Amino acid sequence: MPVSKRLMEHAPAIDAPPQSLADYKATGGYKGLEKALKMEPDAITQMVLEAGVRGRGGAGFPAGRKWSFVPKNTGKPIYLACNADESEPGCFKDRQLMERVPHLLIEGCVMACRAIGAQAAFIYVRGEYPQSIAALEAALIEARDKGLVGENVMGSGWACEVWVHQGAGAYICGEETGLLSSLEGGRGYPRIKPPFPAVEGLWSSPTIINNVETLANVPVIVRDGVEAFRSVGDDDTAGTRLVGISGHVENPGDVEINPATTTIRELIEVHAGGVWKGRKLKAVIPGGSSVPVLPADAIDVPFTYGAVKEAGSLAGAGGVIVMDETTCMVDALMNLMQFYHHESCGQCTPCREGTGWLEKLVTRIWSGEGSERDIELLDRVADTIGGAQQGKTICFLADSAVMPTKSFLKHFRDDFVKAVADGGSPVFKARRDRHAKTSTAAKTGTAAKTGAK
Amino acid sequence: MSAPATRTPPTAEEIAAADGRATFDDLRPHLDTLVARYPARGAALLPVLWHVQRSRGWITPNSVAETAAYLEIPKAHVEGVITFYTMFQDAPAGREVVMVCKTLTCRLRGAQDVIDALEDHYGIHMGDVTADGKFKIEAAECLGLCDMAPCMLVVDKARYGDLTPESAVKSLEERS
Amino acid sequence: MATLTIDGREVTVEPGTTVIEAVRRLGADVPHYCWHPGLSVAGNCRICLVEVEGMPTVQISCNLGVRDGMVVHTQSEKARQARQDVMELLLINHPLDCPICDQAGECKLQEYSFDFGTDGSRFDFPKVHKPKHVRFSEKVVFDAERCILCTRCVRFLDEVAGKDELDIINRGDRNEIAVARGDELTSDYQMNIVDVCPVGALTSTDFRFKSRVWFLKQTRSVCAGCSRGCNVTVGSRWNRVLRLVPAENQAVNKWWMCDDGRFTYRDVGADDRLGAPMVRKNGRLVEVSWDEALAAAAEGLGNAGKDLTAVVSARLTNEELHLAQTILDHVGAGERGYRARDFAKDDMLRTGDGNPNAAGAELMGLTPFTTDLPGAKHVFLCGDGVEQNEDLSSAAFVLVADCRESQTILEFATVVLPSVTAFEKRGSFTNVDGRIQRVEPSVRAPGSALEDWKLLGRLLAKLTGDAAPTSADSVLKSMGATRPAFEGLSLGRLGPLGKSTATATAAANGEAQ
Repeated sequence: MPVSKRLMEHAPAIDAPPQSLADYKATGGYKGLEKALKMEPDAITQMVLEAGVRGRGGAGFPAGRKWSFVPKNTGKPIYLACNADESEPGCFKDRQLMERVPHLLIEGCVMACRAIGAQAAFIYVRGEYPQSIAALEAALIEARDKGLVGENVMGSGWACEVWVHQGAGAYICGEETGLLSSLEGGRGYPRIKPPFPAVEGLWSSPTIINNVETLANVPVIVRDGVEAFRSVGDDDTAGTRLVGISGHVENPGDVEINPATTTIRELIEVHAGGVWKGRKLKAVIPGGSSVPVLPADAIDVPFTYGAVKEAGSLAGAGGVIVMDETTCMVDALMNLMQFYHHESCGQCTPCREGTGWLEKLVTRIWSGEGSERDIELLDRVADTIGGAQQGKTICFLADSAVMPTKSFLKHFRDDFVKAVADGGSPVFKARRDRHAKTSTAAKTGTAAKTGAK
Repeated sequence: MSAPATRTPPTAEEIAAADGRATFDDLRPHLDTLVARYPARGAALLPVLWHVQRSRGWITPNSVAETAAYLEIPKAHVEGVITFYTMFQDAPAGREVVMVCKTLTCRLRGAQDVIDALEDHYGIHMGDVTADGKFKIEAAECLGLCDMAPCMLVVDKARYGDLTPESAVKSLEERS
Repeated sequence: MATLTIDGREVTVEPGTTVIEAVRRLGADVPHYCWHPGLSVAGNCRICLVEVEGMPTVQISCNLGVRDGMVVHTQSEKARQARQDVMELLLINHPLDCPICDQAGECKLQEYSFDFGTDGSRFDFPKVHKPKHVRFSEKVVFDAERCILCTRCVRFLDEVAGKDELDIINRGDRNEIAVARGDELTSDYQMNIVDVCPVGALTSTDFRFKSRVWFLKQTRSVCAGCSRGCNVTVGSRWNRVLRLVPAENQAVNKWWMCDDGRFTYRDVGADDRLGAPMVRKNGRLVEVSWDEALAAAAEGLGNAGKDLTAVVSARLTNEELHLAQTILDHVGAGERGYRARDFAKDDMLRTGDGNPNAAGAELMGLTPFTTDLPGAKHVFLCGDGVEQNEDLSSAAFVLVADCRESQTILEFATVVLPSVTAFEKRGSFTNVDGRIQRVEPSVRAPGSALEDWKLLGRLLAKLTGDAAPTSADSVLKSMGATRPAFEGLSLGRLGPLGKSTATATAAANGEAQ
């Protein structure tokens, strides 16, 4: 099965220095921008629309359609916000892209600005990615120096600034309106809609928020044309996808694929060298930790939005987490509930109160103090919380705790029943035995700490 | 969740030492360039706090007041922001902050053993500052380095992947 | 305009109206915590969920704009279940300390639990603990465990009071409302956050633990602290005023009032209240009957004639001011005016005029008193708080009608008529914008003190031989004959929200209101 390289075609090796401007230009870099500057802005949007590229940050919304929502002639400035707050557990593709081909993203940002009528783009990079920030900042110096970004882009007389904005440790800032709140200098609170960001986003002005990979596709689309772009993928998922594969595999890493012809099984077995240690597969979370888990027999599906959805999960942000036969699913779910509890911004009642309840319930089962009733309750509390899919919360963070909970119980209920019957998760028992003297430390595993805050 | 690390409030000496590393006026020229990027002063809060923290080691009470005055925003808002984001330090945080990933992919590949090893080696709990003041070591949620799990990040400086309990300890010891 | 159907009833509203507003337009309501008609929409509590036909999920009605043809169900099974779910989650970490909570009886958690909560909780873990009795200022105390983080307080201070001194710290279920470290609230309107808090998280240090609210007698009246005339609900018990909270009046104070206004009740129970009429005999004030005191007063006024210098309080009601003017006209008093009183002004509600009824005084033809009192031969100090410790040693006759003992009374008064505060009488005030509003008594005055209208009415009767008025209302009804601004008015017609003088005039002329 062929690797389908497009965005990363000329990317330097991992750990090599980022691709320089000279190297980028030598392989067709900034040709897309050059072409775009000669086009009507709406024509760029039209190309992106026809290319059918869908949001690579998880939601899969068609980028061209999103751009078309920007109202014309409001008299307000327009902004582009690039979502580089890649915080979804299991996802690291945007980091690879920024650190290896930073100019591709910068070119994409400038072109998107041109299309939507923005004169400034802010790339919001999570605080934990200093190397990505360094790569982008260095590339921006080159780009400004050569007139590719700044007051007179490629001599066109059109001005476009691109700034890198560093986050400071909050998963919720990857939610697009949480990102806007953070970018404005606030707590990363997602915003109620309406108003929608395309109408009222940054500083109450029209704002488009696109994921790193989404924007990186724009230069390719304009440079090579819609036909060429659509030659990879299918009508549902046009173009390539960057996918990270991690967890219990021999060779964790990032790969660019043709989603229409690459199955989840191939991602694991071909690209990541198979399940590690010669073990059998137990479960896969295909799109980053928020999406429903799939059992081992459900992975012979192509990595398109539609196919993965049909299989019972979501392709999401392209982070495939692999779990082998030794994995205790109670332990895995507890870990995820710690994550979502820790990352809930606390705005909406159901998420603020409910994520902690879920964590407490699964921890009780994990530590051998749970009952059958707790398993049942875990399932029902997930329904009570509901999340945005039920209209109960502003954003999808609660859903991101609910979907794993429901799917873990659906496919791996036996692990939970066993933990109740056998005095806890095997992980708990191993820790307890090892730390017999300090058993209190083993009670709860380790939750992330934010210090004495 | 494990019990939060018990920490005494910063002492007057600790505050004075941090503030003494840079006056706010020293920081101003760079801060002005940050503010210029945004259409509203307050938007520069995160970049400004980063710069203050890098210059002083942590965000002292004076830093809160100075930042609020500089950006013309309420102090309560600055504190709200500092306490929302895990990477802002509002107490002495050692010479370097180490974030050890604890989330699923890393846990699947042995993060707990790495955390145990670091706690044992330094005789601390996650979230504490080591006795020699070199590191504040925290268990962190996903660092986005899942391809190198288990992993840790020395904030702003380095990242380490494919850790074993031994390599984690060794990596930090070599930073000394 | 958009016409929508809510629970089977049609309502037509302006575009831009939200569904919760449309529901309220019908006289119904949707449960809500974070939404407040005077604040921006936050959409965080998630309790105001309703079902809308054609929409797959329930919707928060506070941020949902109406559309023509929209069909809304506030009571459907789906909507009720969703609200019940949110209700359960709101309470899992709530301390449920209602027996010792000051909010009990006017707590929205209690109300909605009663309406649609369940009788138990499925949550059986230790609750999240947070700081309790946190001092936000000398006026406001905070309990983070009771707080549901609706941010009404944060938004009030930022959006209405213009002092964004509160924010949220921490994250997730550790979130807390907080003042910046080392700071305290400074806003002159900060006590409104106690009112807007839908739960027992913010309480007033002044009122807390004084009484369970359901034992309070609640009286709608008007604040006498300045000429804005903020509408208030006076809470009283054991014949003591225990608190003032604002009552909504969109034409005057919306939902708010200033902190100083809330403390105007403190003088009511003062130790030096006058409870009996007195007449100076042989250099000493001695208690006498009302009849004797009024006779002495009438005689003194009659003797003074045009040499009388009268200072009238603009804390008197319109009816009382009318009676006072009638007396002064009858006597022919030369010097007269009302005592102006300053009060710190701001851009919100405080007018800068410390009299609640200066506009009423002006309508009666009174102007601020400017003459020096010392040197006057015959003095009439008429009404609450007029005296200013002036040297009246050269006066032959000093008549004082006031509520509290003072140096002036003790040293110089010839006749003392004990009167009452604004909390003890019925009548009307005219506010700074010319709005006539009803004042209602919430407590009884001490001893045999009389409402000023009664006292002045009897004094006038003594002077003229006519019958004394039987009620403040009868004075108001009759004074319209000579004072056009009041024509056709009665206390009943003023209603709870009052009437502007222009409206009153128009009504009297038979024009549409």
